[in-house]
Amino acid sequence: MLDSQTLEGRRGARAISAPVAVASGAAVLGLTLGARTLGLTESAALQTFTIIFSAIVIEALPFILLGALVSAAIEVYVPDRAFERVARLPLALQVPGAALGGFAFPVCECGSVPVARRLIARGMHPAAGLAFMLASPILNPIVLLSTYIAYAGRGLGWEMVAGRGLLGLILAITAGWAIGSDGATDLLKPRAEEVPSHDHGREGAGERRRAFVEHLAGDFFFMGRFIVIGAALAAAMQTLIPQSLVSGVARTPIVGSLALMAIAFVLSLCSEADAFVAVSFVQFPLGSQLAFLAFGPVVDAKLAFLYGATFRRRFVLRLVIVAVPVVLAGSLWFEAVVR
Amino acid sequence: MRIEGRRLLRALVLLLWAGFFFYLWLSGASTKFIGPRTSWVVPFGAIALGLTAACQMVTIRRAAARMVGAESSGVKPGVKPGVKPGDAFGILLLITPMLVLVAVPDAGLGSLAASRKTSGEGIAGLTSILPPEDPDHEISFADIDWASESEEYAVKAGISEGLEMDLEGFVTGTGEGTFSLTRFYVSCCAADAVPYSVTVESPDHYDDDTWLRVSGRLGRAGDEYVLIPDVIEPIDVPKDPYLY
Repeated sequence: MLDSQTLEGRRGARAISAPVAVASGAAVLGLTLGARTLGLTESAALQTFTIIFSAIVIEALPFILLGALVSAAIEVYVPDRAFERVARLPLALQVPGAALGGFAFPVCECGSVPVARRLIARGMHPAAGLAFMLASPILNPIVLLSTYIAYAGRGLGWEMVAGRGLLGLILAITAGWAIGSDGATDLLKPRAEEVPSHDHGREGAGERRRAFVEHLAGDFFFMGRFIVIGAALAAAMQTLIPQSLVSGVARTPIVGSLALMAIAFVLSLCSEADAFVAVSFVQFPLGSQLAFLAFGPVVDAKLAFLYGATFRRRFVLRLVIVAVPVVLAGSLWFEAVVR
Repeated sequence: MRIEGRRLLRALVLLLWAGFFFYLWLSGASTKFIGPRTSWVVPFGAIALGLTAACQMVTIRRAAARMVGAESSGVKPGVKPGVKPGDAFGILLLITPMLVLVAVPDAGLGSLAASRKTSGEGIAGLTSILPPEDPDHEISFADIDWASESEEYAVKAGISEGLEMDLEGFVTGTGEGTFSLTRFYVSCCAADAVPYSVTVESPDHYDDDTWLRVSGRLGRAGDEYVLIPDVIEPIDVPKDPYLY
């Protein structure tokens, strides 16, 4: 379990005075209204960027809140002894068990990050925590159902559900094992503003409710800001880079899978609806569409920022190094089996 | 009573977001951003963010009361009231989407987005996609596009030359005696919008992104179904600009 010193980080920064805060807020609002009044925001590129950026944030924020809710509940209402019991299980059981646990957590990738962070901070083995985080956006029932609905029209509903579920499970377990061998302190990035993690079991009901709200708001504000940055990056790429640049070179299974992984990274779609987009990529082989469905919920532009804020340096790079070959191999195998 | 600035700011931002989600929900403006499959996130977000804001307000009062109690008994508070630069930056980031929407009131997907996104053209020609069995299914852009690719699709969807059509969309380019009328199809949100276009045979010139209602009948130019217009009239951008 992480000690409070590690997670508390530094708290020495000086506070902003009330007049400075009010003046800064007024300046930001003034600049915003000024830009609108002067017509500086009428370009087509800015209008496209704005609608995509806002749409991703509007869709992701409720999921971030849901993830923060579960994370706060784990922190405040699950006693230490429950995590001690789980930690005593052999790792060979913990990792696949945690990955399969994703089946019972019906939120997309934005919600699973704070939950996994909390599980690891409370004592779950990092490999198991990561396996849960990477599996839940693919294995959860809503995602599998939407995959079935999207592909049922082409008579491939069950094949895609089985392929996606199996590849997602293999990817989560492999990446969990490969990256989660470090200890929690080597994996998680300390957060300066976080309330230290401890057992709330002996606190009164009122105190626990207060702690629950503090953890809920803390996680929401922390993750929310990185979702905003990630959404801005995804929207900028969608606005500036024509997708035909990638899709034009994508007839062969290997190149097609790599190209659709790149598109999944750029689009940053919610895993609960990405199958409806994948099904439209008919220029690509079916295995490549599976690569899109397995890679996107694990690595995309908005997630890169969430991971960067949650885990220590090089986590995203290590995840990409593991995920690309696993997904590529899985997609080629699927293509050979289904075709 | 001394109020801790960070908690207060957090509560205000939560209230702002809750208010924005309520606005999207009650005004129907969410259709500009979110498709019907995931539209439930809007009422959920409004209620959940509102409740979280209310809970944060309660903690402000209790924390302030505790601080007063601690100070009166000579104990220094563990958390100093005030907003640190890191908190302020994080809060500014979180309200950025709302500020951007205020600054860019006409945000929307148009001809530029259509040129950047992968079109759904060719699906019916490459796969066994069939029209929905829903008897109320209204033939629109994607159906015409797919009917041009697959005769089987055209027959099953009841698409043939002479079929009377009434399409609303925006202009995305002109050719010789033709222009393209386009509409985005959305699955989940504007980020996954896929453009479909129908060629309209008309010598009239319209600027890109002009919204039009075109009434006419289907004809053919080679394998492609095209729309031969009887009436073309400019219209306002519809409240729900996407098809699903």
